[in-house]
Amino acid sequence: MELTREEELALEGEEGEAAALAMKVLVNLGDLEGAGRMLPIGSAHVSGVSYLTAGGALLKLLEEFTRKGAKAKVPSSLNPAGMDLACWERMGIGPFFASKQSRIIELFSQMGIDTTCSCIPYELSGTVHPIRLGEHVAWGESNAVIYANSVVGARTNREGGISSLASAITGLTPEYGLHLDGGRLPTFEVEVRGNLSHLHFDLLGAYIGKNWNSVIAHLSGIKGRPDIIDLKHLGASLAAKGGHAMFHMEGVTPEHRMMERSRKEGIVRERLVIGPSELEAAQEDLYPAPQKEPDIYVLGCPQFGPAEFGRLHGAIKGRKLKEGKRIIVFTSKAVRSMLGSGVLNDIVGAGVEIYDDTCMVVTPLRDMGIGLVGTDSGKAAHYIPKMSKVETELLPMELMVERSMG
Amino acid sequence: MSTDHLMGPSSSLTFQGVALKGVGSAPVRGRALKWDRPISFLGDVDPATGEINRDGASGNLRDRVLVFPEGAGSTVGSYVIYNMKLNGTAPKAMLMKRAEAIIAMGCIIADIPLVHRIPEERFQAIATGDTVEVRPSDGTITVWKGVEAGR
Repeated sequence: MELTREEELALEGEEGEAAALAMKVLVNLGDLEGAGRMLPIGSAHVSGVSYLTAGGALLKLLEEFTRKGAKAKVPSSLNPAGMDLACWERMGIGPFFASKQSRIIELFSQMGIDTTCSCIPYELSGTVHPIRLGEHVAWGESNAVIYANSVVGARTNREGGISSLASAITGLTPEYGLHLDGGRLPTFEVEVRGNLSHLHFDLLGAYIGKNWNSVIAHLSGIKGRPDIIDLKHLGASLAAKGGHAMFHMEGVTPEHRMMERSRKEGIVRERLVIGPSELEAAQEDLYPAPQKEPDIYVLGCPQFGPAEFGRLHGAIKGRKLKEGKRIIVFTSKAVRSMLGSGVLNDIVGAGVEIYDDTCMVVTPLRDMGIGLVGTDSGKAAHYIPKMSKVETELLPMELMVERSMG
Repeated sequence: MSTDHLMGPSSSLTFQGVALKGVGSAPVRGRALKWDRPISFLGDVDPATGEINRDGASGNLRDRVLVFPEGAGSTVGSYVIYNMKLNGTAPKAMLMKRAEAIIAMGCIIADIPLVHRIPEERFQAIATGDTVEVRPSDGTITVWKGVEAGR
């Protein structure tokens, strides 16, 4: 990699030990990936925040970084933690886990990183640096990466916890992959036939992701205009099942015309034609249903934004949870502050539990007494059985409300 | 034990790989542990003991020069490598055919020298128990066949 004089000096320790270590991470990453130079970034979103996933090693690494004087150089935000930072006791989290998790957040905060703890920084322009078309950023969290690249047209590779933190500290990222035009071209074509429901977008992402790993899909033929929930869930499923970092959608995403260049260059390798009946037929293979109907339903993967709260409010229609049933929603304080108090009061009044700062994928569900759940998220239904060994049913939000409210 | 007289040019093999920049400084020497399958540090390795177990094969990575083709699995693997360093169960160095971000990030934060792009025939020539010296400054590798030589 070609480094500027300033970058060389940072690598040699001119800006302190923490910046030197962070620069060492990025220079080596750039060498491995064949990057030519570093790019300045507008923001960093740091993943690897939950004590459940990275544990004591993360805590010790953060202690080392803060001891070496680490400070974020660009606006930076955090992924969900392993618990609601205020109401962890009500969630059923133990004091040991809580003290470790709180210390992790405290260390990030000392580095000057915003501690909203959200996986949807792209919806939080009021608290986190807003992203723009063509802007280079360094984001971890696969659903945020695919949304930023696809729907906003910002440019980020799929960063891990360590590289996203290194980018927060240096304000730089190596230039390769999705930062370059050539790394954003679709290589796979999907023609969608028929009308898709919300849940079909989760299944569509999972089906493509499972069968075609790490491609950039171009989707056409989708009727109507998919809403923000559909785009979030499609991207989250593509990323979870297939490691995708970007998709294009005809008439919807800002760079969908890149398909013309892909066709001209002959790099579109395959074409898939698919509709609702094929997706429903694939559901049992993608997300095998548990034998029993769950009593507990989890919503908010990716975390609930204002659109999802509106949809849930509409589905509840003034009903209340039946005895023995639970619906748990994961969101952030930043999203709550965007909502009218009427919507929130109605949802809480129906018996729905709402937690901030976390989600069902990174919180210890078994500690919360949960052994079987239903969710409307293809991403959550992919990860919960792996991470928490909890059986998971995938079903639409409206159906869980029908089953559990009366 | 002085075995310097055994270390003539005829009994050793020297070649070059690509070293991570700024990771490790002085040459490190240790016995090789050769693993022929990709390693997922999250899942395959116990950071408390250094034990590796997969598909019926097992070994201990502690203080070894770990020789393996490539990494696999979750990005949390980087933290497992760091955890091994903190626990004193980490390998002294790693040699790989192909490095990727998960292993590289782990080695950088744990300050474990990593040399990659080891040519196939050199990779094949190294066996568990060989003595290996790794020079982090330029990626030079020297291998002495057998356990005793070079110690």
